[in-house]
Amino acid sequence: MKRNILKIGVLSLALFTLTDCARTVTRIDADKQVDLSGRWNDTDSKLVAQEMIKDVLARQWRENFFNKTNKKPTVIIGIISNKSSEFIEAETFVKDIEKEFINSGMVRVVQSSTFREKLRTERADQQQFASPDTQKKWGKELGADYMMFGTINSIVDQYNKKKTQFYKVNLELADLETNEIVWLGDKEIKKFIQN
Amino acid sequence: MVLLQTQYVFFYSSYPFPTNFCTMYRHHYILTFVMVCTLVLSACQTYYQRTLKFNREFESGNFSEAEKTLLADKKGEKRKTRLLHYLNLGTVTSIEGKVYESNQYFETAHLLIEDHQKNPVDEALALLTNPKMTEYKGEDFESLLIHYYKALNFLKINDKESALIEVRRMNNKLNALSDKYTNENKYSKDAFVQNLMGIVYDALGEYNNAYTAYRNAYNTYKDVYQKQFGIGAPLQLKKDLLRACFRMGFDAELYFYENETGLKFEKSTSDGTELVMFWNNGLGPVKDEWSINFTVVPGVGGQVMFVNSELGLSFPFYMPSQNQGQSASINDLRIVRVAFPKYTERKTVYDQAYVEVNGKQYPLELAESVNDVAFKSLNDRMLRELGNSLLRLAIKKVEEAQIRKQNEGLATAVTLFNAFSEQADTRNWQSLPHSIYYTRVPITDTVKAVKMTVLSSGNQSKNTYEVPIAPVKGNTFFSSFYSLEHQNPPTMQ
Repeated sequence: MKRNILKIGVLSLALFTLTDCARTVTRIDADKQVDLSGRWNDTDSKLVAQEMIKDVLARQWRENFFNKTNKKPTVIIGIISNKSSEFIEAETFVKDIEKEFINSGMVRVVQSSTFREKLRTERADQQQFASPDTQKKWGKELGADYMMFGTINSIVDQYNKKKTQFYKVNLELADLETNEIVWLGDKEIKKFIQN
Repeated sequence: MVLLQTQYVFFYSSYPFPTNFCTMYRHHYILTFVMVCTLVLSACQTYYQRTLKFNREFESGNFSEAEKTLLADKKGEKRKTRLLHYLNLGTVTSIEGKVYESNQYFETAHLLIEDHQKNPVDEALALLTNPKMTEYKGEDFESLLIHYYKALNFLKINDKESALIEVRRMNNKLNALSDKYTNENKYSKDAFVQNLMGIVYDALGEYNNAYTAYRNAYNTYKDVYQKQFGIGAPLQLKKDLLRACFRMGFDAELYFYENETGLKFEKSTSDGTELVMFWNNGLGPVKDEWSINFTVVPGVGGQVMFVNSELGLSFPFYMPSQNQGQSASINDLRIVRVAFPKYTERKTVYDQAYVEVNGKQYPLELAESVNDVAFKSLNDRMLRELGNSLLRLAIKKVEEAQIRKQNEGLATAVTLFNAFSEQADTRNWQSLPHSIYYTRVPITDTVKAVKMTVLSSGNQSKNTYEVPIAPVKGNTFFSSFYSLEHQNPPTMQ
């Protein structure tokens, strides 16, 4: 009798032990592509930034600027509007773009308005508290020649357990002095998700 | 109520007493029976009944006593209902205005849900007794509403960064919810939480995210909530969506949503000082128990069918481990009782409210019916609940049959124990409101109090309260108002 009760107990235990494994946590390479839900993720952000910056750097505007001024162009990344249905952290995407620009060595990048304010506050603070030989001077900020801005759009098509997730990122680069658009680019990502 | 249920269980207990029960096992089994009954009767109570003292204090608005009652329960943090212990503490302290304590309790509750893992031993015990043996992990909507309280607590102390963390957590949980249920007919999206995200992003100056959240909320109200709960997009949400489009410079979207909502965007003339008032009306539903009697129809090859022809339910169970004798024993049962959870609504007393500022009234709009969402959530998984309960019953009956082969008398005691222990999981977050309303009111920083009027339909009952506020110029001030008045159903009085 005891054996039978034990059998039932063990059976139930085994059933749930098998169906519910303990949680494990493993550290993985931050550059490794891992797609779980199909939503916008770090891989999309890096991929779009790399490909679009590769494209923008290969276009004529940069050479035109260099021929005219004999300097590398200075770029500021403006607003990347998110019109998708997801909460895409534009900030990480902007940082990916800035990283690609800087790493290319072909353009210079300046801080956005929010961080410029923080830098100015720090510089003002230096005027009062830093030693004269280490104080940074006013009026030496690098003015941007071009501004980049864009939008992220998405379209979701779903039927039962199948879903396609389509993203389109549009970026454009405008001359800050003339408002002329010197480059337009887009990148599309389409994912098929089956639950 | 408890006794009636117990008698009901006893009446349908499957095995008769053995003929030699009184002579052979009399003292032994009477003692066992009394002990089992004492133990099980105390466990028979619903969660509401077990926490009656707290419930009575909370319902009557005696929050300090309610908090003391919870804190006096030293085992509250260790029981399998510890999540509810922290949720109740978080709610009570939030109403009391103790936002730091409240958020600590809610954070603990959040982590309990995040780190929840099934305990195999508890799960096995649940199969042999009832689901109360497992740790309560919370309903999806309960998990989401933790962040409603937390975000508002943070906003009340102007901790914007922390409020944003709560909003991101809401988004993570909404994503998990929509991944869990691909069927749009199930509770897989929460329009109120989406709207709340928009309101918080908006107040914190993250206008792009506010636009995304408002648009998602609008679509969910229109496509899902209207159909499932009869709740359309609040007028305030439509206005907020248009304003978000305008603020982002999304002209095409502004034009689209103007046509869609039939509203024309009007630029506000205020300096941006606003009051967002949430009204937590009444009290949410309470989980209770109901039972279904199934007739056991013997099949072939160890298969039995649990049939309830009245409800049109029929579940086959295959029991491969049975031998002929066992099969006969199970099939002898004829009628068995299975317990399921059900929600009991606590109807509201009030169904309208407005905020009055400078003689102008701003009605609060229904944004979430927690009651309806709770009912919907349980209904969505009723088939799974039925299956789990029947599996539990089948295992119990196999257990009884096995023991009966060895010892008839002990089998009777086990049968009684199983019949008594057949209970549903009646645990839920019972200090939640029945429904949540809100409005946005343009004010100035000189306004230090607003009038809040709550009234029942037909103005049979109307009360006006003065709510102190402390707005800062150009900012959004958040306030919550609680009306705990409700009508308990007869079974809870």
